[in-house]
Amino acid sequence: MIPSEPISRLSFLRKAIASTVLTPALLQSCSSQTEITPGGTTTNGSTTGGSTTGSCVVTDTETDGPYPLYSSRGSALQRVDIREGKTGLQLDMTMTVKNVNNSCAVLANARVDIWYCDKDGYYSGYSNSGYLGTQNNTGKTFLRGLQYTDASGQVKFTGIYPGWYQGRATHIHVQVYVDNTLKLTSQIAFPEDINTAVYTTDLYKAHGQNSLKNSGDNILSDSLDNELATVTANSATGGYNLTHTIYVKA
Amino acid sequence: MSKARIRLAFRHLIDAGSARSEFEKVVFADSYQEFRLQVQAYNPNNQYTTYQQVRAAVPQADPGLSVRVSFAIGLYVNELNGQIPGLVDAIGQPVSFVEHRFTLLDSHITDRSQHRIALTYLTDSLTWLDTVGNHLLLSAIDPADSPEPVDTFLLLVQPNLSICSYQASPYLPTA
Repeated sequence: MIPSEPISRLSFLRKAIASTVLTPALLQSCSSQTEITPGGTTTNGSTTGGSTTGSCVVTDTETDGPYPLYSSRGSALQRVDIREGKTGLQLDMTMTVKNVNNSCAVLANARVDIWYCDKDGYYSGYSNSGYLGTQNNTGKTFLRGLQYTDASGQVKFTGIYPGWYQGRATHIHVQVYVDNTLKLTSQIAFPEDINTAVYTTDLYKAHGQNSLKNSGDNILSDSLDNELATVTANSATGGYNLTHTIYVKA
Repeated sequence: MSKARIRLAFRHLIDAGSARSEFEKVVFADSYQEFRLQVQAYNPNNQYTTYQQVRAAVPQADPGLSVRVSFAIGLYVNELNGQIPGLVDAIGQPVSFVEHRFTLLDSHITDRSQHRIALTYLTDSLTWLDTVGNHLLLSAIDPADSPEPVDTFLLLVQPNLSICSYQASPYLPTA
């Protein structure tokens, strides 16, 4: 049984929440509830002046309920290359989503979200603590991505081989949505021999080896049969290729 | 001469009633859609209907949900080209920001009219030279560091504008 994502990361998130105290405190003095009047605005194609009467309401361009046209078009995460300058051995990922409810056929147009820590064990988006102390990564989005599966049920990402942090084996978080419904929250594990090899290379060796292996990780240990990725060396990039199949009921 | 180096924060509230500009409309619509997706991880079986209920029951939803939802509007914020929407100086010139924070204030899994968010834009460090009436006299460059006159601007003290960082001039590094 895989714990749901928030529970599985409870300890980490507690630390993250505890270490974000500074940022909310910084902003508490800016928390007036008075609403602003936007400057020059455009409504129904016509530009209005810097002040509005307050009687305008938002024009509903989408019905409430499912939003089939929603395509994450404003998302900072919808991209193939999720590195944002993060250093590490290149990791080219191909994930395939298959549908248990349809004879394991590939599933197109499923949204796949992934996120994981950098080579030193730090996530973007939060202030979090690790072996190099606390890093405030609020507002950063490295090593987070989302893609919609193609006709072959595949998404691709280019990132770096993840590092590790105390208490967890090396992993990638993944979520799959189908028709705006969360179908799966899971994690992807890495082969131990490759973890060991990677963590001896120049960029990773400062942090060293992760003493917690997959077999001792209470999230991954009972589910390695379906969460362990296939990882192979890529001589062209000097890094690795990862392939993994995710099964959902859709 | 200079009083201090400061950073300003300007809070931009967006809800169903205030979403008028194109930016506000897409931020409202897409942050609501993303909330409906992301809340599911914290709300299995839809046992809660509001963000407040989810936050009370699942503490890690705050700031988890705000962080996750914020990614969905990141490109729209990028398209602002670093100019704070709704904030201009005394002669109508835009004020620049270098960071932003997204906060989910309220939402409801089926009632979009209850969706409210705030974007807080943070300026880079500015020199607070003086206060003229209810305006702050500001410059990006500290005149003490420049043999030439520096560009300045006047900014009205107004609702939702705050000073969120302050360094007194005796402690400023010398040029």
